[in-house]
Amino acid sequence: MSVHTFIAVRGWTASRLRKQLFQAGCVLLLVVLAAGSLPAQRGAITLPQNLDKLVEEAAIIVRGHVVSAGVEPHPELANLSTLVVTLRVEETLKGQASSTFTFRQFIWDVRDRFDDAGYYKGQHLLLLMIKPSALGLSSPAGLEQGRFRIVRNPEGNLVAVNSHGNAGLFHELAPQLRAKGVPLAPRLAALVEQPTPGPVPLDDLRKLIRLLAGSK
Amino acid sequence: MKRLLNRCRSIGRAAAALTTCGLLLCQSPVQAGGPIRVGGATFGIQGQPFVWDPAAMPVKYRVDPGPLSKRPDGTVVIDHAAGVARVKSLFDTWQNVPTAAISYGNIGDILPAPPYTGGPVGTAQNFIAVFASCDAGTQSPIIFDADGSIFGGLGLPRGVIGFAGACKLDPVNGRFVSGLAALNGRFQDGFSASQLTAAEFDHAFAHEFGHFSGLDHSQINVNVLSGQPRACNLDDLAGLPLMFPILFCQARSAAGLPVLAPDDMAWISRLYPVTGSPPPGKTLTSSAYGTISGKVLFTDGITQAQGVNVIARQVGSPRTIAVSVVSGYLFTGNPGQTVTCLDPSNPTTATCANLGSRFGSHNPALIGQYEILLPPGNYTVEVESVFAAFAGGSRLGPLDPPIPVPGTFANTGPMSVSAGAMVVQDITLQGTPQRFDAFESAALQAPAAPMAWLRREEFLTEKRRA
Repeated sequence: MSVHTFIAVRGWTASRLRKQLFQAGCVLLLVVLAAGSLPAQRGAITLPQNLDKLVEEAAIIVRGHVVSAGVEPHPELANLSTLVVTLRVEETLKGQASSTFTFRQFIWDVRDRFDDAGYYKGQHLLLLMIKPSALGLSSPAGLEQGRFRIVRNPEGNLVAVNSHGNAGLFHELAPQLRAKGVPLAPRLAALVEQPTPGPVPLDDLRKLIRLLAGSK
Repeated sequence: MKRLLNRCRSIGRAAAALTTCGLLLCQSPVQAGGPIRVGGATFGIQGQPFVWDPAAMPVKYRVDPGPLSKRPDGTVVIDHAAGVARVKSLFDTWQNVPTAAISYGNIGDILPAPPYTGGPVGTAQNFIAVFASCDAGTQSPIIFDADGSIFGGLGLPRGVIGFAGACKLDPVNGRFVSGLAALNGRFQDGFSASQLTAAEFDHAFAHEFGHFSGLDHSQINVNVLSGQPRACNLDDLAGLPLMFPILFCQARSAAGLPVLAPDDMAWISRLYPVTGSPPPGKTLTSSAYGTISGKVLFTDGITQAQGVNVIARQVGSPRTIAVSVVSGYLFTGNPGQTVTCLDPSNPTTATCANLGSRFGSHNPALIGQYEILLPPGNYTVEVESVFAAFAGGSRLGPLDPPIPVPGTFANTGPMSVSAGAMVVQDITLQGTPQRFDAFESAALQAPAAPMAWLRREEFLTEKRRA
């Protein structure tokens, strides 16, 4: 399958974006270099979803390190290549997970079969996973949007970034949180009120996810 | 002593540069700012884009016999005939480029592929069977997931509108053998959440069919990202490629623009040039396009720079008529190595996990090469970084993630491009870090020569004197 994720990024309040584009790009570059390449499930057209929608669709949200990743046939459908990933769970932000979490994902792109769709042992991830289908197949909510790599930024702090560079992640999130009566600390409020593309501090993202998961 | 220290620093920088390049390039299966796949040393034709066989046109596809869209209660919103017409129209977008020798033909319903026995594909199990037949090169199916149930069965999240691309490649001749597209009709049922306009849906799939045809993403007028979504300046939108990685602006057709931008038309023409005696409705590509090509170089004028987005803009219409390419689009920096194989004496896929990318030329002369097909006119050439967020599924060019341009470059003066002619214009970046790597020293090597980095200094000194 061809490369492609088609993102529609709507509603960036953007005059500031021009000034921040270069800076954000440089920071993002440093982070993605640290994270390694970001090949992800390719060839899909996905609607953009903000964090609220991603959390809402996710049945389980876990943070941890990849223990194993590989492509193997589906146990019942031999001609279906699937990606099987196991994480050592270090934190569960939504749903129930034991000390390890394994999911099986449908992959269609021939390149994903060669590089395990970018998953590799030791990778530190925050995954927002949807409920498995009857065939036992699952994916991150929003595909690449619900799959965050966790790395250290140049200052040594842990940050999280998805393969969209977090574009649109906080779009219209502030009014949604207000409507739900979810209170935000000033730091988080600033993050969602004035989003810029690029990595976000992991702690901030975790707090937001917990707030959103708890507000359902 | 001071000179020695400087030498040591140079070596240190060189080592760092090599390490960085290694980190970057070893993770870069080749794609391009033009073709989506380029043949490698042992897969396809080295340095040549993968394309559908020009001698076997039209590209033959088969369509799901069911409706394109229906509501959860079963009410059909877009029936089969309308769905087929929609698909044809999307393919026609590309087929109608007069300078591109690509065409598409619907040859009927999707073939049975046990346990799928025909009729609307409808279920994940049937989809999987049809998908396997595409993988085997048996057919190129266009699948309608009328109510989103197939995608749900495959464990895909609600926001997936569809997917498309090649299934099987011919590793000898560098051809696409089969491809697939799956369209989620739920976004057109007028009932479910997150509906798309018809123009948005078609825009998205015209883009996908571009990938199906072998095109990668392009970046022109990236400044639109600093504006308001769905409200882009019309001049910027006119030059914005359909193959831009992000649907940020309003659909081109909704703004009264042709679906394809000049960049899209140039690249489909580059992949499928019309040659010989043009059939009715087609024009010789060489009679409608000229070329600007060259290399992007570091400040030393020797080292080639890969991953730089090069844009040619027409004088007088710089925002609307522009074509781009990413330098080094034919090259892979990941040729592989066998040193760390488990069994170096028997380097196979079973014993090595580091055989490199199957795609992309290993010819170092192509590291900084660029080539842009242009309608006749006067053009300036500029360079820019690929936007850093264009990585993974939205990647653009041969490097994933992309890198910032390692220096600066003032735009060229106007250059006249004539049909069928080529203008050579190398681009030497200013203020780049000093460079040293195996490739740049290759041109300086001679038997019994001193170490390449010493000779490079001599070479540069002589050059300066001259």
